[in-house]
Amino acid sequence: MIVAELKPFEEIMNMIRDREKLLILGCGSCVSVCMSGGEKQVELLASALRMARNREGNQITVGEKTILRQCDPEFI
Amino acid sequence: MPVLPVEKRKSTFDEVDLGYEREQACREALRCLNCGAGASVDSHCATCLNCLRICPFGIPVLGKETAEIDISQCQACGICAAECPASAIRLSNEGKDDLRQEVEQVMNRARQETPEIAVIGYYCRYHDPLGPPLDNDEIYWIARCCTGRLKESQIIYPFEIGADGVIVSMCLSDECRFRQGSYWVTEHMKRAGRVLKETGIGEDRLSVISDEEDFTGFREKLETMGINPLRKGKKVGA
Repeated sequence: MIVAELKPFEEIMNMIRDREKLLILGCGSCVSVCMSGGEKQVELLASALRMARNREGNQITVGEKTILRQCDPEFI
Repeated sequence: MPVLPVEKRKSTFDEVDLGYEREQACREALRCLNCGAGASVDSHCATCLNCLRICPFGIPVLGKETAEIDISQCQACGICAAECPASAIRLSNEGKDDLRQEVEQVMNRARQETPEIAVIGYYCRYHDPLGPPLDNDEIYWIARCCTGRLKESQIIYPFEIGADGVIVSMCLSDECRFRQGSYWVTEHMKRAGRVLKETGIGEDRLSVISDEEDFTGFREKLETMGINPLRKGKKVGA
């Protein structure tokens, strides 16, 4: 099992600074159990990014999807 | 239930059972009628066992591959659904997007009524069966069966569409019908507050309130902070 923790929000904001469209792709296994990358976290991060970017006046389109397992190609 | 005094019954054909007062009727309607309004686990369950550990009534069990919830035993507080990291728990009396749609509806109302500020208020239907705990034109209330079921994303969503503040009314911990609802409200509010701080919206736009005085203090704080920075204009929710 992979163990993951949340990246600092500011770091994520810097990573996507020049992007206008973003897909947040969650995974339904290990990172869900770690409370860092499952569907619930995807929804929360998408909302936070939209708000932070709108506040800056720099709108972004955020897609949200969570697949069952990202580590096996059969699931992708 | 109040009844006609025996003396009066002797001389009249009036109904003996006088019926409930409004408040009594509301309380009575809250009794569990085994309506199957509880939670169920779908195939997205990651078997994290969170629901087994947090259910105040110990209803979820580990099935063959996933967690399982006996819907007839579930008390329908919804705390497990809010805490499920895979969003794999469904509540039969609440669709996934129901709350979002309700927030949009009340914000549409706020746009028409144009109050100076618009605050979304979530309240517990069990704690306040007769309706919203406060009567104030600037608060747009949404009822839930236990506010402990509100996810962080649901607490912050109103800000995305222009609300200036969000308040949550909750039971005192020893009054909560679901035993731990107030603990979970506080926990979810803390996490939602962190997100609001990180996004620059301001965690102080969020508050738990229990009376008019609390709201007055919160209102003053909002006035100092100004309108929601996500509003495009002066107009509420624009």
